[in-house]
Amino acid sequence: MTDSTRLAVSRSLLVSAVILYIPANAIPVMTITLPGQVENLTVLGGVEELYNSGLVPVAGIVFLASILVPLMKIFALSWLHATQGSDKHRHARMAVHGFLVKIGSWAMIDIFLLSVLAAVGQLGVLAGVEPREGSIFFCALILSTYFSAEVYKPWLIWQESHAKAR
Amino acid sequence: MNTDDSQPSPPVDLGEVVRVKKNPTLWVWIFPLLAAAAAGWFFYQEIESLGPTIEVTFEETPGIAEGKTRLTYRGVESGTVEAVTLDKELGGVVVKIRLKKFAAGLATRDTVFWIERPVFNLAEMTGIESIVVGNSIQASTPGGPPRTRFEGDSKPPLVSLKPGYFTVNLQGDDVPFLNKGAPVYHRGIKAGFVRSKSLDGSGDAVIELSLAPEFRSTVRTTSRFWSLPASRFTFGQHGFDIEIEGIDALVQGAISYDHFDREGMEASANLLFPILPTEFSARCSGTLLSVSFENGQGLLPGQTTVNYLGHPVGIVENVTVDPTTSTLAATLRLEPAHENLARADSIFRIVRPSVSLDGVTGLDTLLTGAYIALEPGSSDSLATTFQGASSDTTSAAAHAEGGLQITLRSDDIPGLGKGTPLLHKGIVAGTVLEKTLDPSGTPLLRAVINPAYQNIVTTQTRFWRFAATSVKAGPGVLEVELENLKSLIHGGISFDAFGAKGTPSEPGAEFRLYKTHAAAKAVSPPVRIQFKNGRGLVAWRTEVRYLGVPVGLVENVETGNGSVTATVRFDNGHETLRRKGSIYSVVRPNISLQGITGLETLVSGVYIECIPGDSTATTDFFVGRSTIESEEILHGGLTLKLTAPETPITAGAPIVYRGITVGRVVEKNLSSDSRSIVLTIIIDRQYAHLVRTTSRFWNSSGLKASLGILKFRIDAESVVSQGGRISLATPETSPLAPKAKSGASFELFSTPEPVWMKWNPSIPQN
Repeated sequence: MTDSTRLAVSRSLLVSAVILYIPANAIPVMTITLPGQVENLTVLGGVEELYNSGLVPVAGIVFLASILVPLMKIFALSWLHATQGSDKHRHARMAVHGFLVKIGSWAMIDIFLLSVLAAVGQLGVLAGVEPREGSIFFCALILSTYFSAEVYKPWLIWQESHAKAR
Repeated sequence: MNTDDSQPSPPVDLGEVVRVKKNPTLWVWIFPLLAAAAAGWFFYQEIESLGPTIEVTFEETPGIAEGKTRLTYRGVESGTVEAVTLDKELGGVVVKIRLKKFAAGLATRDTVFWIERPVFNLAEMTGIESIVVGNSIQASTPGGPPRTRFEGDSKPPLVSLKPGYFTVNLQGDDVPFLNKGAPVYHRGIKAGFVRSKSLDGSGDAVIELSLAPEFRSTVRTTSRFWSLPASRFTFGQHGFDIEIEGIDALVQGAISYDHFDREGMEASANLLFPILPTEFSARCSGTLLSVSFENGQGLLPGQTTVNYLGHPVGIVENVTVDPTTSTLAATLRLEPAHENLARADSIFRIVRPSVSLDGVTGLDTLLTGAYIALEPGSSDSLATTFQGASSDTTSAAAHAEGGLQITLRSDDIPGLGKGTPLLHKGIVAGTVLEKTLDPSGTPLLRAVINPAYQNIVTTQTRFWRFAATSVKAGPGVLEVELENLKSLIHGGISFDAFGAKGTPSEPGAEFRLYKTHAAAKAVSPPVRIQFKNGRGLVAWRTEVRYLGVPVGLVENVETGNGSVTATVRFDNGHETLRRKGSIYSVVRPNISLQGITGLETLVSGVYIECIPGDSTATTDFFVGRSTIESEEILHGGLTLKLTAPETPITAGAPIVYRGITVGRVVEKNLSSDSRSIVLTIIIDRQYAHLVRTTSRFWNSSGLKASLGILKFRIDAESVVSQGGRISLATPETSPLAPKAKSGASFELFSTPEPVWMKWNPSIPQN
C-alpha cells in the first residue's frame, strides 16, 4: 500500500467515522426489558443507566471508552490529517498517534458489554436485553476510527508535503 | 547527457506519456458513502414509519412515560407516547401519541383509548402483560371519520367492540351475585357475558347480556335462563357435592340458558326473559299448577321439588297464603315431559319427616327438606288446580276413631306434638293427636290410646315424657340411653300405673304429664323435710336415696321461717321411710383436710340420704340433719357433752385417742345459763368403750413445738384439723372406771396435765 493510499484510506475512514458518529449516538443500541418497563437505550443512555444503578466506575469507563474516546480519536485524526506534510509538532503528533493506536481497541468495550448483556440477560419475563440498530452504527464508528488510526502509519508524519518534496 | 550527444543516438523509446490518474485512491471514498447511505436510509425509515400525532385526554395516567409507553392495538405496537402534559385547567392529562404509519387508521372518530394496567382481583386478572412491559395505552376502534383528539377511558371497555354481538334482556326479582362481565353459558359453552345490571322502572332487576353472533340461533322463545351461583354446595344423602362452573364463574357467578329441546321461534331482539334461580327450575317450564295445602310447612319457593316415584319432576315456584280460605296456595311447574301427570285426580302430598304409629316416614326429608310427592291419578283429563294433602294427616286421624281419647296437661311441652308416640312398657299404645292451649293458657296434648291398650289406662296411671336421648352420669356410670328411632326425633310419652290399682279411665279424662320418669314414679303422699340450708336442692331433680338407691324425688323446694322445706315423694314400697325418727340429710360434695366425701354428688348433684327410724309411728314432717350428724347417729355412737369456759374448737373437730380419731364434735352451743360453752361430741360405737367416767378431754389443737437439747419437734398434725382437735385419755385404774353413759358431761381442759400423757390403760373391747 502506498503512502498516498494509506493517507486516502485513513482520511475516508475518518470521514465515515464523522458521519457514523451521529446515528451511533442517536439510535438506541439496546432494548432493556425489565418487569414494568421497556427501555430503549442509546450509548449515552446506557452510561446514564449504569450511573443511576450505582455502577459509577463502570459508567465512567464506558463513558470514556464509548463516547469520549471516539470523539477524541476523530479530533486527533482530523488534526493529524490537517497537519499532514507540515514539519511542526512532529513529536507531539507521534505521541498522539501512538496513543490512538494504543487505546483504539478499548472503544469496543461498549460492544463487548452489550454482547455479554444480550447473551446473559435473557431471563424470560424477568429481564431481557436486546441489541438494536444503533449498535451496528456504533460498531461501524469504532471500526472506522480504529482502522483510520491503524492505516495511518507514523512515518507519514515525517513525510514532506507533496509541494515541498518537489 | 554530455558524451552521447555526438553519436547519432538510437531512437530512444521514451515511452508513451500516459496520463497518470490524478487520484488513484478515489475508491476509498466508498466508506463514507456507505456510512452516509446506511445512516440516511435508517433515518428515512424511521421518519417514513411515523404516522399522524393524536392527542388523548385522560383523567390520570399512571405509569405513562414519554418516549417509552407504547400504544397497543390488537397487541401490536402502534405508536409511542411523545409527550405527557397537563391540560390548561390541570383537570386532565393530555397524552400526545405518535402513531405508526400503518396504524394511522386509529386516528378515527370512534376509537376508544384506555390505559392498560395490571388488574388483580378475584374476578378477573387482566393486563398481565403490563407487568412485563409496563403500562400501556390500548386502543380499540370500529372505524369512522378521522380525528386527532380523543377522550381516554381510565378502565378498559368491558365490551370488546366486536361486531355482531346481540343483546338479550333478562328480568328477575333479584339477581344475586352477578356482576358485569359474568359469563353466560349455553350448555357449558361460553356464549357471552353480562353487559349491564340495572333496575327498570318497576324496580325489577334487569340484566343485559351480550351474546356472540354464532349463538343467535340458540336463544329461542322457549329458552329459559337461570343463574348459576358462584359455586354450589349441596348436602344430601349422597354426601357433599360441590359444583363449580368455571374459574371465572367461581367468583362472579354466571348465567346459563337452554331451551331444553323445546323448539321455539328464534327470539326476536330485546325479548325480555325471566331469570330463574336454578337449572331445575328452568327445566320445569310446564304449565302453572296451583295446589292448596292446609299446612305448607317446609315448602320453599324455588327449592321444594315435586317428586314422582322419588324422582324430581317439578318445582314449587311460589307459595302464597289465600286469606279467604286460610289455606296455602303453592304454584308449581312440572317438567314438560311430565306434564301429563297433572291429572284431575292426582294427589299432591307434602312429605316431611314424620313419626307416627305407622313408623318413621319421610326420613330422607331430614336432609333434603320437605318435598311434594305426586301420585298421579287415572283420569285422562288434565287439571291445573289441586287440593294438596299432607302425609301425616292420614294415619293419626285413622287411629283417633275408636281409641280412648285422653288429655294430658303440663306446664310446658317442648318437642312433643302431633304424632308423638305414647308408650307403655316400650310398646306403642297410642299417639298424640294435637297440641293446643286450653282457655287458661296451659298447653294440652290430646292423645288417643289404641283400643287394644285402652284398659291399661286407669285413673292411677301416670304419664311422663322421655327425652329423645338421655345421658345418665354417676360415679362409674355413664349411660347414654337412646329410645327407639321413632322417639329420636320428638321424644315421646310413656305411661304406667306403677302397680297402683285404679278403675279404667273414662274417655276424655285428664292426666298430668310429668317431666321425668322419676317424677311420675314418685306417687306416694308427700313428705316435708325442713333443712337449714337448701343449697343444691332442685325440684324434680334432687333424688332421695336410701342406702344409695334412689327411692324418691324432691317435688318442691320452698323457703320460709329461715329454713328450707323440701317436699318429697317416695316411690311405692318405701313406707318405712315415713317412720318417726327417720333421719334425712343432704349429701353435698365436701372437701376438707379430713378427706373428701360426697364426691359423686359433683356429677349427680346433691341428694337427700335417708335412714329409716325404728319407731312404728309415721309422720310426714321431718327436720333434716347435717351429714355428719346423721352418720354418727347411723353408726350409733356415744353422745357426750364437753363444757369449757371458752374454746376455739368448733363443730367438726375430731376427738383423738392416741392419735386415732375416735369421734367428732357435732355441735357447739352456749350452755343453758350462758356461762360456758357446751360441745356435743359423738364417739364412734367401736371406740365407745374407751371413754370412762374418769376420762379427761383437752384441747390439743394448735401448733405444738417442743424444744430440747437434742430434739426439736413440731406436732403438725393438730394444724391440719379443721376447727381444732380434742384429745382424750383414760387413767390406768384397776379395775377400770365404768363406761361413760350416753349424754354424760365432761369438762374440756385447755391444756393437759403431763401425767395424762403417760396413762396407758389396757381397755378391753367390751
